Amino acid sequence: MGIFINGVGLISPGYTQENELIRVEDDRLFCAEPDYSKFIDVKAIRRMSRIIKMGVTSSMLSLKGSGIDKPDAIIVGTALGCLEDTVSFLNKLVLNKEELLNPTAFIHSTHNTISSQIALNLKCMGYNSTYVHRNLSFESALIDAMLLFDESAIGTALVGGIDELCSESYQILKRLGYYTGTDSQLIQAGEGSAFFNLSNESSPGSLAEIKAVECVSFAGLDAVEERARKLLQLFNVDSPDLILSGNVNRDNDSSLLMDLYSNFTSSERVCEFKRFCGEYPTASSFAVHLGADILAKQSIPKEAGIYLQSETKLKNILIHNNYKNVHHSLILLSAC
Amino acid sequence: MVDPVFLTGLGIISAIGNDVNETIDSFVNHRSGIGPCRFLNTVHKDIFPLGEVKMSNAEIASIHGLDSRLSRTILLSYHAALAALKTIPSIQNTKWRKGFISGSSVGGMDRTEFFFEDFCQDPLTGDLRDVMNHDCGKATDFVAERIGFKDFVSTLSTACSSSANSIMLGARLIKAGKLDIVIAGGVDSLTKFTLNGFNSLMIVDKEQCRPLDESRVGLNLGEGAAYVVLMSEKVLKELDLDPYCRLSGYANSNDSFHQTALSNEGNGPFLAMEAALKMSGLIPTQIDYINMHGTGTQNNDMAEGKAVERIFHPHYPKLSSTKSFTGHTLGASGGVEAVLSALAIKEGYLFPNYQYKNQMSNLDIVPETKFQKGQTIRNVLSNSFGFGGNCTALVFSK
Repeated sequence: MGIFINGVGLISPGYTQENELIRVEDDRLFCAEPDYSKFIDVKAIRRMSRIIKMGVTSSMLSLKGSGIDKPDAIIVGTALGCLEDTVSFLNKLVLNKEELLNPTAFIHSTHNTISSQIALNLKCMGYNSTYVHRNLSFESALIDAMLLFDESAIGTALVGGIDELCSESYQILKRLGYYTGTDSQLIQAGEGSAFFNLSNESSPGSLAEIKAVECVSFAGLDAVEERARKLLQLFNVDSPDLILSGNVNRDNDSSLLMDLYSNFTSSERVCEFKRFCGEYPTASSFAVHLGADILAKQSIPKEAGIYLQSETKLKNILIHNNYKNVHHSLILLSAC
Repeated sequence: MVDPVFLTGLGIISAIGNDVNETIDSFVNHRSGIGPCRFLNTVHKDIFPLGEVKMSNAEIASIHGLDSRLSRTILLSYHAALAALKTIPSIQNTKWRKGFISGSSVGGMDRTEFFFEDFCQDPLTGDLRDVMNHDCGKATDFVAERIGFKDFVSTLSTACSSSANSIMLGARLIKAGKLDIVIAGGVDSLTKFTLNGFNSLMIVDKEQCRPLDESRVGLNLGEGAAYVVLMSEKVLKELDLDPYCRLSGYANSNDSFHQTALSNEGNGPFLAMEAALKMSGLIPTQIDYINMHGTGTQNNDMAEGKAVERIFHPHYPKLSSTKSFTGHTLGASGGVEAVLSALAIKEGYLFPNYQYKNQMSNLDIVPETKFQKGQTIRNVLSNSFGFGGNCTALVFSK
């Protein structure tokens, strides 16, 4: 059973607030943030860190106009959670030598703060969960939602992928080599919040259908290829119209990945989506947004640099993400 | 009751023991694991008693031949997951699709806070080996890869209900036919971050905590890891195993009231318990024991007590908060208490509260005070509620 994307809410460096795909040339890509006071009560805003504001606002954007004010489930994927509050409490802990600490940063530092603030905002008492598994965090959230739909436990779900970039995390991750690509080239650091209003029923406004989400862990590219082949076969997809790849030219794996993709489609149909949103663990949620946007509009933004000659309908998009060959994910999107 | 999920193995480490036998021994001898801390290097050492695991990092690491520089979270998780794996016959290199799902709230924070002592003075300093294991998923990956449970790997973080939710997800993946065997549970180690955080909220007791007791003033923090082995009936039969129990019901609900407090009427806890009972097909009088979330804070015990009253009044099952022995192990608590629930059913154990004295005013519930063996315990309800209103209830049945 497929799941329909009936609404999206995105705050990202890769899209302008007018919903145009853009590419920014910088080491660090920060979100184009909206005026939050249009969405959240001003008093509440003051207590919220950036990631919570982004999460709450993009969740509201995804529900806008759908007639759904209380989704049956709220599920968030965030690998590193509320970094700004975590760092703030850590700094004070060290500098004040564990004395006279204010609880606010601690309260908002837990990973589930985003999903619970969304629940509080929407007054949702239904299923609520948060996944924090590296570059499978968002995928885990999607898999959980798809299980709930299959169990007939829910009819609607709000699912998001969100991570924030702060100066301390950038310094540390840079030192750990997270942003180092082939030939010591810097990989653009990114962040973003992408939320999806999902349902097991399509509506006239449905943007795309999520056919399947697959994770491949601790296995080589052969296993990824086999899984992708099975996945495409299962849904009778000869060749996806587009592959959105999370490749960032790391560890000389670019050519290996292009070899992998060549089993399924031609190289001019591969778009490396992190050029727009930067590298962050839940970047695949940005790719789902981009893919849904392309399928809904039936056109590929000029910025993506992909010019297809055929004028047939864009039907299927395969998203592939991975980090250092540890966890791979495959998401198949189809046009409604 | 379609597609039952069976619990066939377990592993646990906490302040009251490094394995199942030591854990039960602590209950038999009515010995709380909460006391002065030895390993957490905090300025509050002499003020707050903690439920610390009674082994140093180096000791745990040496048992398993691991690097003692790993985060305590990784070491505890590996210790308990390996113990769970060893309680079932060798299933390596078989056809079964195996998953490892863990819950954690702090991840490798125990090393990160050490790293920050240097880093916050100068961002070019701090030993990277102390921060590379920071994220919650790292411990899960470390363990999954080593125990060979790699067909599905994930980590949940819903504060104090993290590992209850990981057990719930494991069962659902088995029921959906996606996996055959899942090791699920969770881990959290003691950190200055959490101790100071809870202290800043003024909900940490400077004495032994007194959950479900009128005199309670707060919780004692603990640490540990606990995992259960879940499998389908098909696998159970093929491996010819005698299960501890079935996971007969589960539910997740959000209290949606406040970031760090439950609603006075315990709405989230009520919804979670009610839905879990409904799934199990049981009526309230069929529950023989409730392992309460029972943190010892004013707010939790009142809200949980109210929710229990709403469901069980006037026929209360036996109940207790084992956190009075282990301390509050946060993201590991749902796993720790799932292991105890399974042992209650299989061995007929009834777990008490430690040194309970005074009934809570305005509430009917009175916890057990003595450990008992040979009880007939067919159905156990286990509660886990966390910050952010994340409430989960699990029902285990014979």
